[in-house]
Amino acid sequence: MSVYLVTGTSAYREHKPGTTFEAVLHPAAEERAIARGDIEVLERSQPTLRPGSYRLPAGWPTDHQED
Amino acid sequence: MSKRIALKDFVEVDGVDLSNFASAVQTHNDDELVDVSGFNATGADENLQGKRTQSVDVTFFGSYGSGEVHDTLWHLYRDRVTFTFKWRPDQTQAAGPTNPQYSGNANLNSYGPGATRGQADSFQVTFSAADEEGFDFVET
Repeated sequence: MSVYLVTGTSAYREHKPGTTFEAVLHPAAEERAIARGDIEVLERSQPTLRPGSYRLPAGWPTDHQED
Repeated sequence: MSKRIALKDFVEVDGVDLSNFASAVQTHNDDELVDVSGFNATGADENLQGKRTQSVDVTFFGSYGSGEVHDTLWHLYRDRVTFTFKWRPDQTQAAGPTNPQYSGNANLNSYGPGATRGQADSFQVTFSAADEEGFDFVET
């Protein structure tokens, strides 16, 4: 999921010029849109699991345990 | 939606809203008729629906600025790109049961801009369905 800014004079995927939107675009489609000046990438996010945001079931070994 | 005057149509090519540069849209959805007629008492033909061909003709105003018709379409034709195409009757409303959207993956098989002195720069292009999903009317 990335955040884009519509920089062209026409709407892009129904997002008006000057607005931002989040989307997962096909790499080729994104490349073409950027090359035409339709959009620019503001932020790329990679899904991550933050420490402490999850818990393994009881009895499962952790990284610090040996089988 | 009841009878309408076509004024608000939405035309999007490869994600770019080209509605304001388009003045006509004509879809073509044709199935080949395959003759499977046999001898019969009435002499009537019997046909089955065969291969399906789908395409969309759009009349665009020639425009050569950044993000306009030529900037969007030429590269799609030149590089043999597959891209998304969308058309629906009303750009002010989302796609829905009374505003069905004709969309799918497309190829641009012909692109022929030209000009006639004193006349609006206008030409027709043809988008063809690019894959087995074809074009379809969607309501969401």
